[in-house]
Amino acid sequence: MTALLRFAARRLASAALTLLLVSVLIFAAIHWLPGSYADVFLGALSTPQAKAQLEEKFGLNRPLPVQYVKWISAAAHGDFGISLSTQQPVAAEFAVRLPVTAQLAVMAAAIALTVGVPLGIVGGLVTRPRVLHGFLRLFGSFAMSVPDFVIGSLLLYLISRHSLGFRLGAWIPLSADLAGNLRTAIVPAGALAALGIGFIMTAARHAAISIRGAPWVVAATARGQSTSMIIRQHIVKNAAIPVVTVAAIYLGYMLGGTAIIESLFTIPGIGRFVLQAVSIRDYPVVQAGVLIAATVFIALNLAADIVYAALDPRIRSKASP
Amino acid sequence: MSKSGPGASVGWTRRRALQTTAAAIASSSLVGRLALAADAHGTLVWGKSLETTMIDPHMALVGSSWQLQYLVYETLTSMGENFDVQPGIAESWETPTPTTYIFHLRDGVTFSNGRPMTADDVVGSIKRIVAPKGGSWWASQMGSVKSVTSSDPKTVTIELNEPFTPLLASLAASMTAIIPMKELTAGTFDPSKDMLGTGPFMVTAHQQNDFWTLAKNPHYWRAGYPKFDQVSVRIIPDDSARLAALQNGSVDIANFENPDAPLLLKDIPNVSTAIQQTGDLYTLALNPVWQESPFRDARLREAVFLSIDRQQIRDVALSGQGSVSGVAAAVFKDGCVPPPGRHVKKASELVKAAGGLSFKMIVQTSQAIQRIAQVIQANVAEAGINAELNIVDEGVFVNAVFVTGKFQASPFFWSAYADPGMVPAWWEPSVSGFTGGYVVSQPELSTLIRDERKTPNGPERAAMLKKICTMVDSGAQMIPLVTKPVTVAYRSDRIKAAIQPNEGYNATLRHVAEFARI
Amino acid sequence: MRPPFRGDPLSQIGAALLVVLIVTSLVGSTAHVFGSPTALGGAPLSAPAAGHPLGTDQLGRSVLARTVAGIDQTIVLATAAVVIAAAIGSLLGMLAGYLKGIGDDIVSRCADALFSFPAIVLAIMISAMFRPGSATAIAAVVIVTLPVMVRVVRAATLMVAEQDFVIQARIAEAGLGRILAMHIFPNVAGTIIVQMAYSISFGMIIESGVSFLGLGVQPPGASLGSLLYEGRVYLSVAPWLVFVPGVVLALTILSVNLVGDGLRQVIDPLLE
Repeated sequence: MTALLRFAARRLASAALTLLLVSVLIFAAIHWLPGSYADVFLGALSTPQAKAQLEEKFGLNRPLPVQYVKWISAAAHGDFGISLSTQQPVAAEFAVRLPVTAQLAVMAAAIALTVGVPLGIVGGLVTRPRVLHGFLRLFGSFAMSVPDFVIGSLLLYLISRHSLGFRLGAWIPLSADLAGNLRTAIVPAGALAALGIGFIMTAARHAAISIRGAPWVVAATARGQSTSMIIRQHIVKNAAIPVVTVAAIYLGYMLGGTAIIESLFTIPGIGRFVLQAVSIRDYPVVQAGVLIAATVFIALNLAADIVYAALDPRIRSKASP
Repeated sequence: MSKSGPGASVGWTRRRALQTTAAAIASSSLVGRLALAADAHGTLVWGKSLETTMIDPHMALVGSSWQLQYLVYETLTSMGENFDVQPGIAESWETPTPTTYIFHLRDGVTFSNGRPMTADDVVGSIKRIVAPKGGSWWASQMGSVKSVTSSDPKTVTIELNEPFTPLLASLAASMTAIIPMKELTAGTFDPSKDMLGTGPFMVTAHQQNDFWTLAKNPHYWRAGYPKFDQVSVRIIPDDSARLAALQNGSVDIANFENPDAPLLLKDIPNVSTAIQQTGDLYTLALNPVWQESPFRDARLREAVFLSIDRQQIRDVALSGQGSVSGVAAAVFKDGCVPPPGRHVKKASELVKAAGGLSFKMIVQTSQAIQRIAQVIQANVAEAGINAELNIVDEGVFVNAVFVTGKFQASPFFWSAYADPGMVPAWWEPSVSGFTGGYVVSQPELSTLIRDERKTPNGPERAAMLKKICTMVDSGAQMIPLVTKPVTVAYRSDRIKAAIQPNEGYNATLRHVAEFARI
Repeated sequence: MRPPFRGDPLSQIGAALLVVLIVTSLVGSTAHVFGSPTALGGAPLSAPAAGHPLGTDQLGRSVLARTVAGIDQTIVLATAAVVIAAAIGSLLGMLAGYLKGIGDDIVSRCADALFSFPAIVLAIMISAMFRPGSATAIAAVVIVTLPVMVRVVRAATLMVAEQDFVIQARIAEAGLGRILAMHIFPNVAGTIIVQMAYSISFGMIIESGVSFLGLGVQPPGASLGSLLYEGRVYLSVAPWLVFVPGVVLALTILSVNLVGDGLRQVIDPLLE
């Protein structure tokens, strides 16, 4: 038990360090972009006085390290500052948009798991006919090869022509109208899910293949256990680990990865908001957005690592993370 | 209803963060119900392509902001169907001398907070615009204002130092919106954060980059209007998503800048398409100021001018919309249509004499501007000129062109407002005050521009404008190309709407008060 | 000579497809067999017909010529970027995995930090930081694919470093460079190559994503992503503008993925 705790503690420490590095990187990067917020806001009529006034108002004229320390110490308490363009607290702006992106991500992951796991396991277990086996493998690879915006464009066009009961162009919050919300969310979630289906199918397939050949499974077959029992007792349980790991990483990736789909379907999520903030140099929004996305991603990876270590004692005794 | 969510505070505790999230979700659900009401009778849903970034009407720089401001604010004069001046808040006016304008304000004009508008609000607003320190950039389009006074609560007098022909047209701009001065001086109204006007609607909710919700102004001076109870503005930057929303019924009306919009809208049933002409002018700026720009050499500027094919830009890049134009926009009565001046052979000779030409164009991400840039690239290639495109995001574009002036060439557009003599001011840094980074003063042009603005409309002014067009073209610092029309489409089976054929100030929904559900 | 990926027909098909695509794009860019991708001659938005086998776009250019140019750009950019990322990443990964200690910590934390950045946001910021064009697109893909390369090579190095022959070399006091070059590198090379294949496919997705938002390859050049960006709004009147580059992009990425799978089988035959 203590080995696990030590492992977890070490991982936590490196995760915290990684997060700190992310904060430095994003702060430096966004301030390095040509054109400051004051420039973009004032546009054609920028004068040195107007610019100085605006920069003073938002504290943009202090030395960068000072601004960084101010930002990161506030962020550690949950205060992400004020959005330069809306002058509302960044946290409030995110609080409205984060559930939207989270909903898309969760729906996409759910679709990916529902479709990917069975197809993956079947693909791994079925060796004859070879055409089916090959086809399932091809399907998994293909799902990973079509970019989400290609699928999204085609779906957008399809739904605009033949609505099929789905809605476009007007996001309805979950709490307002569940049915309406689902009808709007399912199409973009579907576009996002393709990649996840590919990943999860492949992970499940590899897991099924490697477990299929394992001695205890062969023994169980020899003992006469039925296929479905074997699937349930051995395969699903053992495939769960890699599949859950992949699903966790996929979820984490989507926190930043939904930006294009959100732009395409006009969904008021975090990805689109951060993307637009980059082009108008709304520093607090971009910094907070990347930091939050990185935090979620790192946290999910960390959780997956610890779960892996808890289940497989060999891992936690290895020298370094 | 307050804008997005509870207020900020330093030092959040976890519990506070949770509360905030809950409140934000609750408020978003309220917003959701308002959004749902979009489908109900009584709410107009407008699909807008760009977010409004500047809230203060006096300071707002871009048409995407003006579009929204016209729903909330009103101006002394208004624009008619053919760029003609119509009454607005001022019911009538006299000009006893060429430098005196006496406006008679109409009865019943009231701010949406219930307070009746008075002459003091008008005087204060105009003074704020022309204030020598901290005033509006629009001041250079109001002439030289000597004084603004009111003798009684319904009359306002503007005295100028010298005649300024475009003044009445200029007072129709949302940059001259009448704002509540009493609340401004009392500190209860901050125009850079909130909108409070006398117009048909007032803002009730706003989520940046997503939507605005406006409710009808209960104190609007026009009895029986607006017909709609509510306007829900959805920001949909993506053209095909906006098209899909219109087709789908999620929005009732939408505006498009894509030149192929009419083609794409053609086959959609129940959609009425109107092409609104504007004086907005696509221009190609060739920077004669920056050291690293080849265009300090006038011969090279002339070479580019002679090799571009404005007709092809109109026909191919803009799919046949708009008009080839000189600096006094061709859509105006006294505007100029330049003679076909393409002369590729002469251009290549000039290039050879100067030792070759290769330049970089800073291009924004707008589709229309990219297309224009690509046609220009192909055009100049025929004269042996190599043009390279750099497509950049908003921040980089503004920085390169307007802030540092470190660019060689860039196509972008200027709004031409409502009078042919207004936008030429930008071609003369001493008049505009802000274009010096990429325009070199031509003294003869400067005198001519000042003179034409003093001259009343008539053949004399028309001749001056023609001369200005020729001088701008030969200077080739910012080459006017084609005017920029806007496509507005709406669901004819759901709303009754009237779209003006001509519009100078981006008031796409100028007649929104009269729109009604079918 | 044995055909590559023997017994693995899918990877063979993938390899064949990839070869076809590469040859087509090379022939197109050098011999201009498919027409000019920049000439504005044709009637805009015309459907596939005799003169223009895949139709024309909104400015009257040949879709066939532009798509071929697009394949060229998409493949070349991603490959060049990944080669650079592999060079840098392998060196860093081997050093980190072999030396361990504080150097390993620094490299790993930096790689993790970069890896946790949302890829598309990172790519867009890089595109905004530098002058737009091919070099910037390559830089964006390098930075986005570098962390994975470092991690994968480091993990492989960790395993190899424990092997007897490496320990013996260390005892024999061979220099660091010698050990890395002669003992570590040959044993991780396979992993590097497999990862390169997957990184190329990811790089193509990222590059086309940035181009899809309008911030990537500059006209009149074309990448498959930028063709999708330009053509998308015309889906209802000129669907070939989306279907052609979309299908070609999917097939290109698919072929690289299949080749990557095949390579991995060769390196690690335990799987399937």
